[in-house]
Amino acid sequence: METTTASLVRTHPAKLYWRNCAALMALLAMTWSIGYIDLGMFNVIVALAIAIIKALLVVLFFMHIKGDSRVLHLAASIGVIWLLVMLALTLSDYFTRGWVAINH
Amino acid sequence: MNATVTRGPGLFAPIITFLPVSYFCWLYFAMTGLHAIHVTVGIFVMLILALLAHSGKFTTGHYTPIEIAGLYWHFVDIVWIFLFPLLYLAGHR
Repeated sequence: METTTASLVRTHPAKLYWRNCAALMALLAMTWSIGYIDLGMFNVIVALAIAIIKALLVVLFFMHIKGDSRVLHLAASIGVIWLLVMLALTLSDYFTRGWVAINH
Repeated sequence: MNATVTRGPGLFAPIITFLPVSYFCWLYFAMTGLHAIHVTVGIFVMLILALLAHSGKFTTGHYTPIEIAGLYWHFVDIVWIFLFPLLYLAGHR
């Protein structure tokens, strides 16, 4: 494994990590400030939308997915897709409770 | 933290009804507790890597342990990115 990665060595300047860290901190400040504004049900939606952007920044830059092979992109995406399948199964129960009256 | 617990047919119902806490508290401590375990493991992994790096075990051709430990650490990172708004901001009002 070392020999294959050695041939594909990419340099990651420290500046990139600091810039990404600053972006994440700015988004955290944004999440925190929006928490004080009453948007009703949109508070959770906005908070999670910002969380998805933060997660993408972490995956792309800290986890070195950006600029890596397409196979790795696929493998990383499968993890997210699998998580969505699991969430969909749980939420399909949660959101459909009470649709059918059950008499015990 | 004011949602009271009612006896239900869930898998964790025996535990939840046994403990005099709300669903929120139960989830809060389960989620943050599991996260704390992950963070603790991550700190030990990085301590070991720091010691190995200090004794010159890694080169430009051999850095896979650092890359893998980095992936683990940032997985823990992403978990907290989602847990923080859900636990601390979602039910704020």
